[in-house]
Amino acid sequence: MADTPLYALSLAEQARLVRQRRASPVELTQAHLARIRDTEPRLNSFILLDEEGALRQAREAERQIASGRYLGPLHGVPMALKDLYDTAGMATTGGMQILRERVPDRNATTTALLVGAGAVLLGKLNLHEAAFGVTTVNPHYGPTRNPWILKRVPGGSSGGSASAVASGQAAYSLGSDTGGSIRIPASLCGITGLKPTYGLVSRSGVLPLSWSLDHAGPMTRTAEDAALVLAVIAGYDPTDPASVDAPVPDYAAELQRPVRGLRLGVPHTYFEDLDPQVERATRAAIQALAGLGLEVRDVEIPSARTFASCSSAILYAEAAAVHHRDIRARPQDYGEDVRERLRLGMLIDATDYVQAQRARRALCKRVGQAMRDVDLLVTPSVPVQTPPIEGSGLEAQRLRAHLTRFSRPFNVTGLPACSIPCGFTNDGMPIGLQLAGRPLEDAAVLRAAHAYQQVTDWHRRRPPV
Amino acid sequence: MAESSVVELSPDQVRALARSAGLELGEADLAAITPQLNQLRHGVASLSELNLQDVEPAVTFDALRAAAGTA
Repeated sequence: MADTPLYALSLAEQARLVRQRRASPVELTQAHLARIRDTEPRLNSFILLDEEGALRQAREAERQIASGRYLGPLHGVPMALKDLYDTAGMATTGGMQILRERVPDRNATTTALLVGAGAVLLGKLNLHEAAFGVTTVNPHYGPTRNPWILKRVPGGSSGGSASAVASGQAAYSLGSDTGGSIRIPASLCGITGLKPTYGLVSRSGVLPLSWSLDHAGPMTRTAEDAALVLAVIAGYDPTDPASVDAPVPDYAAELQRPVRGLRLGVPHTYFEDLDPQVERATRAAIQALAGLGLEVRDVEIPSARTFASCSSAILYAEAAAVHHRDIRARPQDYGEDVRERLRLGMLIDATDYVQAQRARRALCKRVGQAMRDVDLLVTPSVPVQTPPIEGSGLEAQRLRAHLTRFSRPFNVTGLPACSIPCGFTNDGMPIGLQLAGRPLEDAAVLRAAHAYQQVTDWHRRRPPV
Repeated sequence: MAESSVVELSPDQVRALARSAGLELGEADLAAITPQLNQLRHGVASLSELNLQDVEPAVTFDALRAAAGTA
């Protein structure tokens, strides 16, 4: 750790330095700002960078800590938010032209919780327009680039978040996930991304895409970091209609419990038609988990194609409802791909939408039955290799279907699911492993991910940017 | 997969549908959207394989919270 630059340390490691007063919040913030200045011209992770505000917050954190008011592991550590999270007095655009000048007067619930925990906000991160896509090739704010190979997409929609965390521009970020938008970019950029149980983390003040599928969650370097962030942002919020009023466990303490004996379900149909390098890495990861004492079992859950059909009708219809005024009045202000999808959503039959919501309940029941016999499910995060930026608009529908194939089932069911790095392709791109758990058993997902990261080093590798 | 009973919509039918939704679609838009809409409709029709009899939709409404104006 001694030779590692401050910006390259995990959140937990940075927090340790702050707590032990071996690094100050101002030093950490300056290190991240220097890293941003160095890499941002190549990555384009940020829509808005607030250097002055970040340094002001860091100085305040430093004063608090010096006076003995240490608020916990997020105190004084720099982070950045997907530009979908409302930040009082700071523009929140959703990556859209139509909201370019929008400045909220209140923080999102999650923003407020992070601020209250002493986090230092560096700025707002790029995303696929309106969070409705998986490439972060944004027509209004430019494409974000993957820090491992700059010609490749970072995934999306939280592509700026993944790029920033992977490259050391920010210690962690919050993303949103409607069909995989935390886990896909986490997988493609080699970081850890957790989509918590639906309703565990408030979406109040987060621009919506699809109310019944939207999730908010942490994007970090490690599962331990995800636990630290989740501990702060999880909990009941009466201003979010989907919020669940349930006890929030001590996620960091839960990581220390043994994983031996956890039953790991492998849905074999989710291992068909995979890129061979993805399959090899995923199966090796399952072996590693078995080596940690997890019991590996075959399990049957409904096909990814069935989940996709259900998810598409809900997602497109709800997204069209979110944007129905602007897509009629200002279609020219949307990028081509998002405009096309919103228009498609406007044409969905109401009966089809309700049928999809009925199918959703049936699918949840089936998966719930399957999970009586296992504690966790495992799949690849993404079945294919990372596509290039150039040409990513071609056959966009097919690309979306590939990238979201294994993530959408867990938006439909609302189950907690995370992506962690489990290998690299021959050309040096990260490969992700997806672990999913039972409702509100996010701690079990993180515990297995953390145990895996104790015996592997994929999550420690740094991109060459 | 069972044969879908969904009738394929033609571009002209999609244009009419779009007009009724307040959208004006050009030829290029129609060419892009029509097959996607048909595919989506077939996908929804295939969900009937799940046996949805007596299954209520997975939408939630909490009357207490709604009345309190908190959600």
